[in-house]
Amino acid sequence: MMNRGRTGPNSRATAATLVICGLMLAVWVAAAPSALAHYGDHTVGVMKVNSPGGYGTQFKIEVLQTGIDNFDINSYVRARASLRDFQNLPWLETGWVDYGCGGNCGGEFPPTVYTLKQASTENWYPSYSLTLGNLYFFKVSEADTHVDSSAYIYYNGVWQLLTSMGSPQCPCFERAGTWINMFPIGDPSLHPALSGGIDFLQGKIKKSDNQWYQWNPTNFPESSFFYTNPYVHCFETAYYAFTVKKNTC
Amino acid sequence: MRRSRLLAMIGVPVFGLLFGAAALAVVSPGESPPPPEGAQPRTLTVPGFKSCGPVRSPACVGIWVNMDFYAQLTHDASVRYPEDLGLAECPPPSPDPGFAPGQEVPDEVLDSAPTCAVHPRYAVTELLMVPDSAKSFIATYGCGGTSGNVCQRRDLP
Repeated sequence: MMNRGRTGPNSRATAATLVICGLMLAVWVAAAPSALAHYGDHTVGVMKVNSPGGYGTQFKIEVLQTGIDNFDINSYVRARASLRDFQNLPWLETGWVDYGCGGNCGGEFPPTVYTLKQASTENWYPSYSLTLGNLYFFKVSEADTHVDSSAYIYYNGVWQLLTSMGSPQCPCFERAGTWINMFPIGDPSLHPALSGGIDFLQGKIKKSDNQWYQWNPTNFPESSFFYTNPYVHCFETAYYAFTVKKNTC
Repeated sequence: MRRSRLLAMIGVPVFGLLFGAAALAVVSPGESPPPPEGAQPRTLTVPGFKSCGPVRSPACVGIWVNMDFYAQLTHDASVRYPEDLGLAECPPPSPDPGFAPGQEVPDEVLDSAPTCAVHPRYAVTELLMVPDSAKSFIATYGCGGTSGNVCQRRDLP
C-alpha cells in the first residue's frame, strides 16, 4: 500500500510532471475549441490591434440570405462595421443581421439593418429594405465634435444617421466583419454556408483629421485579421476588400 | 535521484513550451485567437413589467416596440430625436437597390455629410419579458405580440 507521507523524490518529480501536463492539457482543451469541441460564436474579419488610432470605419457590405432561418431563434449572422472604445470594448456597430427562427420565418424579418450599442441594446430598421446580392454602405464614427458617436447607412443617395450615443473617447479600435452565432452548438458542417460569401469592400478608417483613408497596411500597419473555423476570409486587397466564406476561399 | 529531478526540472518547461506552441497552432494557424465579442444583447426594461433574458426562450416572450413608443413609456433620454441631433428627419425610406457587385462608388459621394437622422419610430426593438408580464403588456397596449404588430406612440390608457 502506498504511503503518501514517504513518497520519494523520483515519485514526486513524476507526479509533478503528470500534474503539470494535466494542467496544460486542460488549458489546451479550453483554448482550442475547434480541435476538441465546437462553440457557437464565430467571428471573421479585420481589426485594428495594439494601439488605437481611428475615429470610425465604413464598409460596403453585401447582403445575403444566410441560410440560418432554420436554426434556433437565438442564432444569427451579423455583417457589420464596428467601433470599439479606447479599451477595445464594443461600443457601436451597424450593418445587417439575419436571425434564425426555428424553421418558422413567417413572422420574422429578412436580413435587416440593425444597430447595436455596447453589445446590449439592439435596434432593427425594417423599413430600410435590402436587396439580396447587392451591397450597402454602413459606417460608425465618432462625431467631429468628439461628443457623440453615430451609426449611418448610405440609403436613398445620402448618409442617414440611424442612431447615436455618447463618445467612446477615441482614438478607438475599429473592426469589420461577420459574427455568426449558432444554436444549437454542434457539428460545424451544419453551420450556415453563407452562400458564395459575404463581400466587404471599399473599407476605410477615419483619422483624427476627420478624413477617411483606405484601410490598407500602409495607412494602418497596426491592422490584423481574425477568423474562427469553419469560417475564413479571403482578401482581395488587405484590409480594404475581403470575402467571408465557409471552409475555404 | 538528482539526475531524475534535474530531468524533470528541465523536461517539464521544455515539454510545456512545445505543448503550448502546438496548442496555439491548432487554435488559429498564423494569427492570434479572435478577441471576445461581448455578451448577448440584454433587453431594455419597462417599469411595471418583469424582464427576462438575456436570450429568447420559452421562459421569455418577445414584445415588439419601436423606440419612440419605448421612450414614451420610459422617458429614456438616451432615445434621441432628429431635433436633438440638429438634423432634419429623414423622409420615410423608399426602396433602394443599393450597389450592384462590381459597382465602384466615387469617394466624393461617400465623403458627403449626413443630411438627416432616422426618427426613432423606425427603430424597432424586442423587449424580453416573463410570460405573465408579456401577457399583461399586450392586454394593456393591444400591440407588441408579433413583429407585424409593433407598438407605436399613442395616447396611453
